[in-house]
Amino acid sequence: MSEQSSVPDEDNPLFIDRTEAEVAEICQYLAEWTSGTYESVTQSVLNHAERKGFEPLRYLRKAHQFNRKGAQRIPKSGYRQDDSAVYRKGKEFMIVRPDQYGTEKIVTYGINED
Amino acid sequence: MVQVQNKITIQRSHITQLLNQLTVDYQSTKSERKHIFEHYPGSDEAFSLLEELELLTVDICGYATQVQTARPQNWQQTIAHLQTLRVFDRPVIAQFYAETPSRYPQIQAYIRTLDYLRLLVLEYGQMQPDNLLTSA
Repeated sequence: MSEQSSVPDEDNPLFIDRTEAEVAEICQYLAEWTSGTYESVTQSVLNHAERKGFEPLRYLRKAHQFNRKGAQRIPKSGYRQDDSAVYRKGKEFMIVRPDQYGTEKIVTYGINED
Repeated sequence: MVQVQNKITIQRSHITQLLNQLTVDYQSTKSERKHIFEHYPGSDEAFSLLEELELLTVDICGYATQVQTARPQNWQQTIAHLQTLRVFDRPVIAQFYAETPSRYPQIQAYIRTLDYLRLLVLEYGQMQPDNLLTSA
């Protein structure tokens, strides 16, 4: 999906060789992310997945499955000066930033073994 | 003007190479990161070394990928942000780097490469014709 529209973008590299169900699943997960300093959320996810050695959809699933409830949050409330916060749980962590509506979006997700 | 364009093209190529190198370097730090996770877990009030490094990596690599794809961007804003992303300005990273000169060579090299990439992107932004006109 282009990130501004609900119409799937056939040129999106994340959609190549995917089933319709997988494309819909990817679109759902991309909405949970922020592009941050990347050109798009897609570029962000591709870069993260490559660096961390994950297949992109598997990486998106892992991030989606991370349960923030019960995770340690730093800072406990609000955000740092750079608008970020981290959730830690076991070996997993997720760094988030709020969007313009105050909804927390994923900046990055990782496992301290990958 | 042609000379500036050549410099920009060479700089973009250099940034692309370094971005790819950083991906390879990140993977080669796996065993050191595992050790650091166990020995530098971070406090309840501050980002750990690995969390701080991850956030800087994402912010700097994001700009570098935009250079790679030659996307137009607001360079004045990007330059200002890159100047706040100095890797060694993060106390947890500066302290780790100074205190463990030989224990974690891969991570130490990764930290240096990341800051070098930041500087290259910053320099690339300063070379942009629009930015040269504005700052003249």
